[in-house]
Amino acid sequence: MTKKFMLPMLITFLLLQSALSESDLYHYHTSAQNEKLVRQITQSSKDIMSYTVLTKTDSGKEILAVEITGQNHNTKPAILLVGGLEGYELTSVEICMDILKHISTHYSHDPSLSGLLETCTIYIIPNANPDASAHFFDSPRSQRKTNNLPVDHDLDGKTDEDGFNDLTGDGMIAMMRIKDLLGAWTIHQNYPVMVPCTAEDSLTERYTMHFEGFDDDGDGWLNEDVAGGVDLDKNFPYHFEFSDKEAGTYAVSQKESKALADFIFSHPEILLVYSFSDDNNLLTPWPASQNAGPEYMDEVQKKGVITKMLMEDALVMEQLTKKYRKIFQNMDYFQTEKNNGNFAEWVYYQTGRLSVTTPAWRFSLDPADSARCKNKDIEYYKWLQRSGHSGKVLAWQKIEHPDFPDQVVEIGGFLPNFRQNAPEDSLKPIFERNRLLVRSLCELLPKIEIADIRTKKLHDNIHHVDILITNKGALATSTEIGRHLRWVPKIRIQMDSKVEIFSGKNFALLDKIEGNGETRKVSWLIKTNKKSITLKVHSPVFGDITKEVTL
Amino acid sequence: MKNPIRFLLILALSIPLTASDVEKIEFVKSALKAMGAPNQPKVEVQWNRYYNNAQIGEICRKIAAAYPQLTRYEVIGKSYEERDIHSLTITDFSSGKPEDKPGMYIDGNIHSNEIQGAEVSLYTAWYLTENFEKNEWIQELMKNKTFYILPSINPDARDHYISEGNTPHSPRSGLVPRDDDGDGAINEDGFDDLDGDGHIVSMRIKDPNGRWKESSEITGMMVPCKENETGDYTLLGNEGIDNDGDGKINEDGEGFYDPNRNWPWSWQPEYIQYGADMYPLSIKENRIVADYILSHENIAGAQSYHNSGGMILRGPGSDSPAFSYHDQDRKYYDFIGKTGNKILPGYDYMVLYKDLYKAVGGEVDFFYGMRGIFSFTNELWSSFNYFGEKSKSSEFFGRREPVYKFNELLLFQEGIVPWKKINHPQYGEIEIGGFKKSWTRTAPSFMIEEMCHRNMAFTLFHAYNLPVVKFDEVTRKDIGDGLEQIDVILKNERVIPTRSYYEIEKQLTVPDFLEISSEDKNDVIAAMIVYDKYLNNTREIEKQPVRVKIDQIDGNATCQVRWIVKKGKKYTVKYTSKKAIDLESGL
Ligand SMILES: [Zn+2]
Repeated sequence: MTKKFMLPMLITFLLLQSALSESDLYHYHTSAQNEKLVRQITQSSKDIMSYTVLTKTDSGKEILAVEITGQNHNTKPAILLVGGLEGYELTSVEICMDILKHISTHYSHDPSLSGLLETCTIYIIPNANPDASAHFFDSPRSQRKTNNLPVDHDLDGKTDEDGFNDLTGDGMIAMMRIKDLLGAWTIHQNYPVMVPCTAEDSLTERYTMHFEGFDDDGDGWLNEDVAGGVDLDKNFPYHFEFSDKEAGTYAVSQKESKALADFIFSHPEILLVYSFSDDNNLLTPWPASQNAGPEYMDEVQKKGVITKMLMEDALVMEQLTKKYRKIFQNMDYFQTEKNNGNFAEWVYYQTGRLSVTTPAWRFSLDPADSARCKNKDIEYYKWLQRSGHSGKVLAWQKIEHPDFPDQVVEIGGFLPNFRQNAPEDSLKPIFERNRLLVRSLCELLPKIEIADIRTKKLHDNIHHVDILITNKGALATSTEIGRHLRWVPKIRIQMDSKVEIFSGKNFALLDKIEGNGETRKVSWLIKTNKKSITLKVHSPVFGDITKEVTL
Repeated sequence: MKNPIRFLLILALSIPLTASDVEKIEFVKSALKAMGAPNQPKVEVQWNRYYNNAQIGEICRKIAAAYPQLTRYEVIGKSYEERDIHSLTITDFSSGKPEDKPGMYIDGNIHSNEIQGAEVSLYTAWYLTENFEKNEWIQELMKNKTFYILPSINPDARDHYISEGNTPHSPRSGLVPRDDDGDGAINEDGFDDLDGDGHIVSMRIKDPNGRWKESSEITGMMVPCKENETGDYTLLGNEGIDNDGDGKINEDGEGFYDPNRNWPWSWQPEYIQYGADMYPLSIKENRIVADYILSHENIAGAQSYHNSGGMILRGPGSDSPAFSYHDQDRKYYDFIGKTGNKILPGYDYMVLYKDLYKAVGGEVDFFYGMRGIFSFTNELWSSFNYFGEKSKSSEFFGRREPVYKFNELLLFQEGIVPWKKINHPQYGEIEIGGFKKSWTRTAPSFMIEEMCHRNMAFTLFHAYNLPVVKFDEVTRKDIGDGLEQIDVILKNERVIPTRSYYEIEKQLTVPDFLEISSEDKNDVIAAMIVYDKYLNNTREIEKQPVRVKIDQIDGNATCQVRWIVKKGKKYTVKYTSKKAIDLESGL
């Protein structure tokens, strides 16, 4: 970097440091606050990053994408970070915002960071689902991961007509239990936690369980058609679930999902997508085929459905897993089943990029606890006690419920939206680990070079020309599945001088070049009286490299 | 004045009536009217040519202006190249809102070269409006049903097919640019109309070592040599040049994606379904049309027109259990499809995946999979149309001999560009010749009107059989204790149920409801659905007895609901259904 850049960058750094005081860093922001921050940060670091508005949601919130190029604005391999997919989970939004802030404030005095951005680009979509995450700040607060599209959940011809009601007026939609002989729930013997009845507790008090609410439309059901919406992480075309009312009418029907899809397809240089979801394919890898890619793809065509990663790509994922485990040590938590129609799997199977997804945060399990059980609510209860958050459980309190005048109705249990989000006091280490992970993912990206150009004069004006292309990065130039998708570009090796070609064509196309030094050769037999010729490597991922050689 | 509306219309359309017009009207008046088209249509359209998208719009607007009580014209969106996507809503507006009646959706031309679907769609709109006044069957149909007609849902490529150099098989795709060969350049090597006649024909080069020769029986037809023969020619494919020097000809032309593999439900990516494109409804025109269809919840039947082969196709396009149709819905498909075999000589009712080929992401499956809508795709123009004999289905576009023979005996050679010499930048002296783009898959002028009419008749038969629900019986009887029993029997007088079995099973749509209301909601004590009125087999509706959910009313079947209510009050019952007309009755 020249000294000319140093001064304004330093000022930027100082300004931002004061704007982002310690206390402001480690807590949850509304999407309006984050939108404003993105504008401020990209403005103050505008020579290394910029933002675009991908779309506006139904409520007018913007989905922003930040492009961080560093000083090198040429086409380079890129990674994309996507936060906020799960709607009610805001930790990932703050992780994305932290990386943005971190790069903006550290670029000028961290040579390893500015060096990294010489060879790659980082795209960040901090919040893919701002309408859903806005409910985090709603009053009453409820647990909701969907956007605001009115949906007729119960198919009664009306939308959003029977949502939650804050019966106790405490600003929280908690749980509601009703004593009922036909109920399937009971109170656990050792913990004040509601659990499904089993044969052992057949003679205990039975309850039905609900969220806090009335039967607003008088159809006999409680909260059966809450406001909204579509769950963005169900609205993608890989194994899309049509009969799930929260999946959307069809895949990529939502503004949010279409914006994400169009963004990825219009950026072929994005080779890896890191998103945050309930799934964790670094701890639990997706199923992989036992056959080599081409054989498995034959099987896929015959069956008309794909369900497994290609063997070659699964091996690459193991490299990423190693990096992850080194940074995120001793991860011990309940893993969740992934949704049909989720974003992360779609990224791999249908856009052909590497896809990494992990939960932004989960309450951890105690390795020393000998009484560990499989019931998530009980373990969550224990964690709350252990970590000093016992206030997040509400004692059961009897109320008069107009819909159940003759039954015992109580409000209590876990408060909404706390379980999905890291407590603010634990955000700092989460941010630090994610900074490390993003750096090490960037470091793995492929690097293309012209390793050599060899020419041989066979006779006056008759030359044989070889060009050797090497991938010096760790990852291959594309995924194996990318070889079967037209949208994953090939590398074009072009004879850029007007010469007569005896053998070879104007250009050759190379698909996947493996990482760690695989080298490929393109040859021509030409006739020319020129003293030198120019060869050109062109790729929407790696940009252009032109080289002149004397004959 | 005999017809003031017509007079106003003439004013509004500012069509001045000249003396020669009057003469013409008198001339047609005295002719004997044939069955079918009226002698004096308000909108004159010649059904013996193929119209471009602007002309389609003009015809739509003329129909809408001539029949404002029967027609609504709308541009539902703009294509990629900003052309209008035209739509006509056709119903008897005086008998109810269009969205309250079961809808019959009709479109054409999703495959741009499969051009005649637009004319069949337009003809349907024209025929219904022109014959409404005199034909009671049509009046009844338009009282009970609404038609949504979108003549061309791929207008950019339709116009390309008409005005640019093409074969009978191109472009098929729409015009959103795509890199077909992955070389980083887009649409860089399409056809080249070497002689500029608007037709992309075949190229051949004289070659003493070639394996092709000209047929001895049919002039101009190329046939492969037998093993022990020597030939005169090598065939070089369609008219074109290697524009980008990659050693290939015509490898990246307009498009390419297949607009009819881009629809949700059974959609699968490129490596499973060629032409699928990036994601469901990634193509602008498709998304506009799909959202139009989904926003009309009354659409109960659907018809798309393609060419060719003489087929009445229904889905599924896939043999995967995830995308199979409900067994119980088959009988309705068969009823309509088999009648189609009669209405359309030379056409066969077929199931896509097993009788033709497997194809996922098709529009025909979208209707059924998303909304349980009964839908057909007709492949217009059959080899039967040449000489009353149909080629085997293995010969996809039919045998070539009758095509040449028909060209000779009925078209007097117009359908073919005779072989002629031309200089090619890469091959040198070659010959080009072969079928014109508007021959082999499209009807010639004198057969268009019949094609339009028979296909329309099939679609009207389908539309006729969409549900018509009536109150069959509404009774009230005293059961003592100050109570009464109300029995309501609803009857569907047509063949197709108000909801298909598939949409019930998958919970795709809002069910039908039968509601009762009175001044005081406590007047209604209980409700039940009666399955067998003789044996009193009933199911009580515990939750919300005033609003009884009905899964469907089957074709030519009834549905009975019983209420126990307080005696002597005034009650109203109301039937609501997305795919049937709502009803109300006071008691
Ligand atoms: Zn077609």
